[in-house]
Amino acid sequence: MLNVFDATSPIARAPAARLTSVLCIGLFPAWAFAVFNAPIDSFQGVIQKILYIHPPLAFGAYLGFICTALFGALYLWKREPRFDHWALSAAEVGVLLCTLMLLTGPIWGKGTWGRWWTWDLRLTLTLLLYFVYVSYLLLRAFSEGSERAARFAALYGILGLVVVPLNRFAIELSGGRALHPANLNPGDDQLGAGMTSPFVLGVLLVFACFAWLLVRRYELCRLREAVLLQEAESEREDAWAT
Amino acid sequence: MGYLISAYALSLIGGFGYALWLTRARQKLRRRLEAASAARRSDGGPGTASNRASAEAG
Repeated sequence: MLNVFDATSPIARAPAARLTSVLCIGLFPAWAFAVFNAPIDSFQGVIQKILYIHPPLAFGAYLGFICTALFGALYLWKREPRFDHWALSAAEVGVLLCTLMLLTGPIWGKGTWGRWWTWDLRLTLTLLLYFVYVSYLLLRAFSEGSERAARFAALYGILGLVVVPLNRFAIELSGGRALHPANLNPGDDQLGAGMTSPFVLGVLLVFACFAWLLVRRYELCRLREAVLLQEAESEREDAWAT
Repeated sequence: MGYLISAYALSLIGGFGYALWLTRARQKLRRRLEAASAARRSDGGPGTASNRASAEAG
């Protein structure tokens, strides 16, 4: 049976990696309990509880794309492959969270606006953000192992970050014409009584899950590199021996 | 209520699905790494120092 909390590798045994596992396990029941007990919104009804998963996923996606740019910049500066691996891992986890955000958003929209999708500025920019980072992953998939591609991807990841603030402040940029509700921040007083704690717990849980998945994805990059190295060495020695 | 459950179910399935995919991929890579290491070690394979020395000698 697969054990997703298996911690047999050196990276997964690191204290920081173990902390992410503990946080995920500890925060999940607390968040689920808080969401279950959160008051029901008098205007939207029970569907408003999507609030405790949809914006946290968006924050997680932003974090992933910010990390992609930061590690990309570090790679360009230091030229160490580990930073490239971290950047790729952050982009992949960011795209996962962005996908989930793009799935939960239309469900909320259908329940409240009566439509799955509208070409609102925020929604359109979110789709653009998603395609920017899906393109990043495609670029990496089609140019695996190339140092030149890694340099280009690092630059692309940094430039792609421009879309993040545009997306975040799309409501303000649209000058009040946006259909999407205004931005919410953890600890914001826009939330009703009893709604802040499940929202904050949701953000913390998504961040902990992001960190946990990031470490695991990075570990996969390192393992893949070790396998390719070992196999190449084997082939070289075989050729030399014959 | 159906919309709410769908949103939460999709998020959980997506998250756990990706975590399982990572775990499965890691196990496959570990097996591949072990197989490659074993092949190099087995029967004084081409990667061993003794084999290399004998190949050089003759």
